[in-house]
Amino acid sequence: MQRIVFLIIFLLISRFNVLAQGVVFSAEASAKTIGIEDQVQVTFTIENVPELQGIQNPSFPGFRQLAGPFQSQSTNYSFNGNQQVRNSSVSLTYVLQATQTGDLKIPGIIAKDGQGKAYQSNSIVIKVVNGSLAAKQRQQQQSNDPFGGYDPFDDPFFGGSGGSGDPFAAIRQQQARMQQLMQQLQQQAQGGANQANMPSVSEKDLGKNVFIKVTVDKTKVLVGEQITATYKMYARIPMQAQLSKLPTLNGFWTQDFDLPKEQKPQRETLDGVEYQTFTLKKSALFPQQTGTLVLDAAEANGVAQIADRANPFGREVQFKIKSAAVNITVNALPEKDQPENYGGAVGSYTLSAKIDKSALSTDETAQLVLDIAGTGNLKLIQAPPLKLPNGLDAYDPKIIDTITSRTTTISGHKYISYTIAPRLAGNYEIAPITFSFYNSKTAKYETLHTQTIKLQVSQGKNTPLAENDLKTISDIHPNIASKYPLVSSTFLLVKSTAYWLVYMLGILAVLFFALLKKRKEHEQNNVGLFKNKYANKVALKRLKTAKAFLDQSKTIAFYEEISKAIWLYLSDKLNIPLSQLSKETANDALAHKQLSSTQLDKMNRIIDDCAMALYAPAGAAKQMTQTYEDTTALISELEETLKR
Amino acid sequence: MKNIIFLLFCLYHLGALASNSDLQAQYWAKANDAIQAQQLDTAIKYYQEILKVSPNNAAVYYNLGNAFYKKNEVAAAVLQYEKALFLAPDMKHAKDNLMLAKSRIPNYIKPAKNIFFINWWQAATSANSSKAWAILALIIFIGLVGLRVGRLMLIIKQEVPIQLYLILPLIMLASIALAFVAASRKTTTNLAVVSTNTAMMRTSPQSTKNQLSIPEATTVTMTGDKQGNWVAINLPNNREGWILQTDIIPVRITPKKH
Repeated sequence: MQRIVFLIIFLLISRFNVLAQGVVFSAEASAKTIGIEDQVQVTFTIENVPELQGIQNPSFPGFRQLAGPFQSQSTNYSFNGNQQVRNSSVSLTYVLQATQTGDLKIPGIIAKDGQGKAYQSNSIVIKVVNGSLAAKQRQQQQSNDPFGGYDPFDDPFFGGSGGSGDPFAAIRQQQARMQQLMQQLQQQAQGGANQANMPSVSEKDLGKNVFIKVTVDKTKVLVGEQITATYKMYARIPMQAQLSKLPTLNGFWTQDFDLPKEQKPQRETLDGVEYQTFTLKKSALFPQQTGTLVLDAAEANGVAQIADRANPFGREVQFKIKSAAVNITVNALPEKDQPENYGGAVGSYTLSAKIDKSALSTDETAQLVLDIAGTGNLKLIQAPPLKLPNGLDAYDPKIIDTITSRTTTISGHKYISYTIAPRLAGNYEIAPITFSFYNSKTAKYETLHTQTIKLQVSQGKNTPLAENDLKTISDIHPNIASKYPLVSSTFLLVKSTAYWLVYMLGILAVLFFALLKKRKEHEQNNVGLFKNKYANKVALKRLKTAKAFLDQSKTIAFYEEISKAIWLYLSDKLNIPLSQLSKETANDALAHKQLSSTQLDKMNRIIDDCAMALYAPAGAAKQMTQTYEDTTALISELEETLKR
Repeated sequence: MKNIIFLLFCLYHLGALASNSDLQAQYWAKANDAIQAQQLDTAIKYYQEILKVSPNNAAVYYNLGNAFYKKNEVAAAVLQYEKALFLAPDMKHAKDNLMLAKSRIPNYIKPAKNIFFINWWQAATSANSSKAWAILALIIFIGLVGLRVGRLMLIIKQEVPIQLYLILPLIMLASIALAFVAASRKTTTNLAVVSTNTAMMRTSPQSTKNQLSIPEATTVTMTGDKQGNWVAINLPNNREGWILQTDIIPVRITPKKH
């Protein structure tokens, strides 16, 4: 069967600069030499492949495939400076049994990544001998340790990968561990039978001979304080058991301790009786709430061989065992002296902060990584508040916990990584970040501070907010605190009556002046008529002046006035400009006006008299009265005639 | 006639204000004291009481916006600052604070950079330029009247070029038009502020495809179209779409009813 199994791997999308490690594709067998009756596990592990597309189904010539493939996947993150290093691995495990003896070769297989690049695994050679090697080894070592030799825990599932990234890996691990455990228990039972060292127990006493016991290091704790719980199986009779229920631990954050790979049954004396014990589970528990929390029972069922007089090999009895539940009293943390922004951390920690750049532009982002290291309820710690100055923004932090649980305390690092995006250029100081925790040993709260972090931000090419004014203000302008301000005016000039009234007035003014002008022009056109109308009046006025000169015997003045009176009268009446007026033109004009010759003569004589008198005033004095009377008469006569 | 009614209306208002102004001044003082004492909720209550009676008071909106800003209620702060700026477009502090408030909007939608003449048009028709345009039109008009009368009365001896009589009235009419456009900006606004953090913009009221999440406190422009519960809006980056009416609060100030 050369079928390609396609495995789709969903890779975690990370905002961090991820450094992938080199690709390694390897095959491993659980044993180099096996018996034909033994089982062997072969694991193919591919590490750090960018995008796994498929792994070739392996062929096992000379072997029978008993189980598998079991797939397991894990992703680890670790930090190298500010760069995150990701380690991912995918492994496939097959359980095989040889069908022939000799040196059997399992050929290497091919895996392909997303870009079509192929990786070849190594091939393995397994030496297969007759019989069961595991049984032999066991027998050989029975004298000092009846259960040694064959190591059921040399299991690929227990190999290197921490499995923190894949929750299913943990379950699989657990299952695998169970399987191994059962094998072991079975062997123990067989071993016991072979030795014919069966204690004589009745069915009633079964519970005393096979049981699960939970031990906790303390039963009264504070919220967040670590409790170590151990689930152990005790047996002193041959039996086969299977765990049917693992305890669920509600109200706790639990972290299982890594059990040793080569776990061997321990001899333990309890109340004077010696038992074989086997650790099922060892966990660190961190209560998350106050009150009485119950550690659930673990259950197992199985078959035990008990002594029977009728049968020298004993008799098989079904049994079901259950551990006793344990109550844990959880008290709240003291409220006295509890620091502000306390985030629930209990244990003992150190704090440090690191920023990847101290100078950047507004187009870039910086990574501020807060490292909380120590022992305690690391996973439950809330990220301490980050107070950024105005102008800097931070996205929600990315939190990575790296927890090691090899010792009896849970320790590790909590990395809180903030992406800081500067909005405005300037020099910033990020205030020290405060982290406080409760030290359960000293029963006191302790507070840690980071250094002040300085950040120099220069203006980048893109300005997210084009408003440069923001640079000058760091906070909002204060309130208007003066006395009650006036209501904002809603007055609009363009919609006010007065405004349009001005336009009306302007138009009216233009109209008024236009009318005035028109009337004036009209009157100017009829200026002759006007003068005609007033000619008599003017003449009479001049005659009056002339009369006055006559009375005073002012000859020249008198004749001047008479002359003006007669010429102006004629000019106005005949509508002839003074410049064109002469005795001849006056006569011509008057000729058309049906004037009698006497009147014309009289007019001519007056004109002549005036001219004479003005050139030779000496002799004219006598005629002054005559001339005045003649002129008066002439003007009234002309007025009479020309009116018609 | 309409203007006379308006005048009477104003006088009526003034009368009503006179009786209330003491109370409002008291509320104002109390609210400002509460701000000093960091009792933001109390202050907000007092400011809102004042605005119930006198909704056209830019300074009150400004202080109210500050109170919301201090409470970190960015959307409410933006709305109040927008109202203050609608009433008093020249209020520099309100402009700055609005900018600061907007800088705190997550996923802030950057306003599109307008082409220069759109900026000119917006500057030319900003609410407070109405008066300037009205005065310019009036000056041109008075100039025209002066020219005409001067010529009629022969005070101006030279002939006035006919082009002047064509261009000046055109400029005058344009100024009056701009004055009206600017005035309309003072009496009403089509701005609105997104008031929920779950607002989604659709390409049409029916379409559920290509929905876009609009950050809370974003100022949008309502185009005036409406279909059922959906109103058409323009985003600051000039994108168009439809949004639920209940997700936005108009900046428009509803006058007090008597």
